[in-house]
Formats: sequence, C-alpha cells, structure tokens
Amino acid sequence: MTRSSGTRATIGCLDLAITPRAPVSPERYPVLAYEFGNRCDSPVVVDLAAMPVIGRAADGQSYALAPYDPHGEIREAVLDGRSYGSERIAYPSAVELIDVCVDAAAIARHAPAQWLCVMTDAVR
Amino acid sequence: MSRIGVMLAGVLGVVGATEVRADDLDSGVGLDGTCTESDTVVGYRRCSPYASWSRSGPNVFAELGVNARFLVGASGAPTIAYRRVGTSSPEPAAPAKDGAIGFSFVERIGVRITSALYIAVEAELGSGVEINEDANDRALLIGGAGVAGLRLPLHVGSISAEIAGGGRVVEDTGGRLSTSNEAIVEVRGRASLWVSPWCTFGAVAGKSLIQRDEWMMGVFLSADTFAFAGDR
Repeated sequence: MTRSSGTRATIGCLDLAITPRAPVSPERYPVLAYEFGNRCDSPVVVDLAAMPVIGRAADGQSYALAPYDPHGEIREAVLDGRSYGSERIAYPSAVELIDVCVDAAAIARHAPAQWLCVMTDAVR
Repeated sequence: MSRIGVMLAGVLGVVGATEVRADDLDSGVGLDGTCTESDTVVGYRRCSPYASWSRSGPNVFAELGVNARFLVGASGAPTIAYRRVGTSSPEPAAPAKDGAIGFSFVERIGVRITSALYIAVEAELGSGVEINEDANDRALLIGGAGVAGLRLPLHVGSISAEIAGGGRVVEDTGGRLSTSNEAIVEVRGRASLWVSPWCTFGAVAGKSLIQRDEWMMGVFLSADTFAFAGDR
C-alpha cells in the first residue's frame, strides 16, 4: 500500500492518477481528483461507483466511504480507446480523515486489489 | 467556496465569468441561458454531467470527399465512335465513349448498426459541364442518395461494399445547355486506412446499375465518433 499526496497507477490499459483536492463543500468532505487515460486502442471500463474506498482517521480507525452522489450520477462508464477523462468526487465522512485509500484495480474491474492511498490533510 | 459564499461573491460582483451567479444557484443556468459552474465536484456541479468523457451514443461517421464521375452523353445510350488511325488502316482504333468526366464534392453521414453493417445518407455537389455546344457531355450538378453497406474491419482500416440509391440533377450540352433529373442506383467498393483513432483516409470506386457505362471513383476523409470505429 502506497501513501502520498498524489499517486499514479497503471491497471491494464488504464493509466490512473489520484490527487487529493481541497474540500469545497460546507461539510468539508474529502475530495479526490481522478484522472485517467486509456493507453490501448480498445475501450476500457471505468467504474468509480463500485470501487472500494476506505478512509483512515488519526486514531488509526478505518471507515468505508461512499461517494457523494445526491443525483445518482456516478456509474460504470466506458472510456474509448486512446481517450482520457477526469472526475472529482467527494467522500462524506463524519470524522476527520488523514488518509483515503482506493482500490485502483477495481476501477478497471481488475484483480487483485491495488490499494492507493492519498493524504487528505495535505491540502488543508 | 460555499453556496452562501458564492452567492455573496456574485452579488458583490467579484466572481469572474466562470463562476456561478446569484440567479443560477439552483440550476446553473443564468437568465441569458448560459450555464456557469461553481464547482467541479460530482454532486455539486450542474452544467456538465458525470462521465462526459465516456463513449456513448450511436457509432456515427462523417465523410468529406471528392469524386470523379463519368456520365454518358445526353443522347441516352452510350454511343461508340470509331476513330481511324491513319487513312490506310481499315481497322478501328480504340472506341471512344460519348460522355464526360466531371468532378464533385460529396459529404455523407452514417451510422454503423453493427461492425459489419452501416447505413448513410450523402449529398453530392458537382460543377456541371463546360459550355461547349459541339460536345455531348453530361455532368452532375447536385445529387443525394441513401446508402447501405457491408464492411469488413481490418487492423489497418476496412474494406466495404455498398449500394446507393437516390436521385440527381445533371447538366448536359446535348445541342443546348439543359438540366434533367434522374435516378441513381450504384454499387461501390470502398477501402480506408486509419490515420488516427478517429480518422480514416480512403478511396471509393463504383458503377451505375442503371447506365452500365457510367462509373465513379473518389477519395475521402472520414471521422468517427468511436475510436477505430469500435472495431478494437
């Protein structure tokens, strides 16, 4: 498990970068910026809805996080060959988190899990 | 920036053109119909939907090209003239068809129903004939057709066979300059090469099924909504 203020990974054809962003909501939910590119000619699945996301508090306690999606928008989508995209997603949490970890492999429906962690306190 | 902060900033006029204004906090759409984003985070942004980067919608292609068309003369059925090569030779030289080659621009848009089957509509605009009362030429002024084709995807591009049916206006100089309408039924073969994931360059050649001596050939550039037309 890697931990940084921003991190990158390659899962099959998908190049992925995850960067923490400053909270924008009044609730100051942690925000992750996902940038992804398809290095192959064929399309790939990008699933930011079903991937496991875990937050870690200063006391070491871990919490499963779900994306802030009041309109039910976040879903599996297909990224075309040689294309790229980006999304910023907030993760509501009742406690202050220092880390947010994402199973990057699950974004592209790959296994085994490839956990990437970013420091949410890096942008505060 | 919080919604209250955005509202205050909008009222005070300190928010730039890319920020939300006080009149569009609910929908993101201002009084002038423009949508301005105050946030880029899913659930907070209003103008751009989630996954605007995704591949969606029909597998559409659009083409621009130049065609050369041979149309037989206005006399109707093609006449074959024999030219003698020298006065001493009784044998006819190669036959010369009564007609002319004209050039036209063609634009077409189509959808791939499957990887192997497509339909399209096309419009063609020609230059007509040169005014020459001694000639018996015909040339395309404007035309339109519906097309259905079968396509074989290859790694470097594709080849396809199609049939086109429609109508056209032609100009002819059969004694005097005039125009006429006529039907088109053509069979064509096409080949294209990928020059980028969304663009091909290709060539087409075809033959009329109504007037067997008429033919066409051309080159085209095509743009696709799906990378490699969704073949890979």
